[in-house]
Amino acid sequence: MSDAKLTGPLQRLMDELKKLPGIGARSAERVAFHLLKAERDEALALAKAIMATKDEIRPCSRCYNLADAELCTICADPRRDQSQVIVVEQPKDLLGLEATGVITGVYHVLMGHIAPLEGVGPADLTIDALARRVKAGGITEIVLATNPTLEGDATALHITSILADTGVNITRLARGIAPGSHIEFANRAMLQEAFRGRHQA
Amino acid sequence: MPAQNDDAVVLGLTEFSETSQIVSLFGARHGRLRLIAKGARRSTRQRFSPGLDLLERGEVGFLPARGDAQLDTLTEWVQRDAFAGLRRDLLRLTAGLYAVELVAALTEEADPHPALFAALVHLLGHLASDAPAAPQIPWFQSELLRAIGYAPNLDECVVCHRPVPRGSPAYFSAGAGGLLCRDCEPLHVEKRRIPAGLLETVPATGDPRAWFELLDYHRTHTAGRRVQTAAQLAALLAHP
Repeated sequence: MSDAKLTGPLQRLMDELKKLPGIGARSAERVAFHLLKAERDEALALAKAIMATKDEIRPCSRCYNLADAELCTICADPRRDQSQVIVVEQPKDLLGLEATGVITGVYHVLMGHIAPLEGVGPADLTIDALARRVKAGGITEIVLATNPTLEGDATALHITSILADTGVNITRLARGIAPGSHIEFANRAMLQEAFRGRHQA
Repeated sequence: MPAQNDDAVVLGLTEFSETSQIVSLFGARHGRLRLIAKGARRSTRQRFSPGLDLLERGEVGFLPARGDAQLDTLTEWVQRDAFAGLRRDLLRLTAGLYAVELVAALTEEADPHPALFAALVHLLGHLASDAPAAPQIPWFQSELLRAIGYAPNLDECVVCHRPVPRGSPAYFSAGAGGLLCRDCEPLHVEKRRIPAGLLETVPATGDPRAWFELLDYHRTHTAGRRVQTAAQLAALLAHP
């Protein structure tokens, strides 16, 4: 591609698009020319969606999931089991769990994980809000669905210690070999976890 | 330069892009390494056996940087030990993080320390076992200080070179490099009192908290690097 710059708004659009993850110079050029050729309403719909996302999205006052009202759609749903709370690191993890279709409980989004080497401690997350939710009553099970990484485990350990005296049942997602993978390619830690977590066939 | 390999422990992981990470390793033969792991976060990538996580030990393969590239490229990671047992309580896990943070902060890239590598692997194995964790923390601190040339002199007064009588009050100055006897102590502003009885023990067998605080004080003053996990580890040792 030549280094020649387009002047004006089109170049500005391409420069902005290039800042997006996974979009390089060639893709930015393709998208920018597509929007230039598209119907005005179609192109402006994208602009309006971006503006609405920035203006209207806020954290749910109960679980910190993304919401466009006081409560997110999950917390506001009367069919959800409010006694089971699944604790996740970020909204994207919630989306992944929701896609399974097996979860009937509600969530709590920590907005990150404890990362001592990066200076991220418990106070930087929404752990205090989770403790307040549990102490307010009505919750019987906390499912810790933090990532099975060292930092995810550190976060789960900290939450377990904080909630130890509350009498709530605290569980952790199972871990081991992923469906569709092969034992031959699994590492030792995965196999150890899978063996320890074996269940009745 | 041909592909290299080493036995290594993961010291740190930094997100580089949606699928790639910069991996900081401590190798037995190469010392500290910074490698780019292209595609490491992609779940279909099998050559990193899958995933890389902090504190785990494995066999690393990498290609040295060529041309304008600044980072060597990770080509293979085969996990040998995840030290999974240290994830079961906060003291063990924080102690492991403290150890790798010290190694990352106090060693230079491509500066091998085989004895320190052995000490790190020993510590992680111990933390993952059922044996008490706390005494091994000051043991590792003393091994690290020895390996990097900052070991304090705890055998005699560093000013007058006379033995410090056991059982009598003793002081420690990081700036002076070790013990101060009662006569030499007034000459030094930077100092701290050593708890009674501590010098009758060694780091691996004495009061873990007192030894940790003394050696961390020495490390902070001599190496002058802030370590994020030190305060949390001190709190966990005080209230296990």
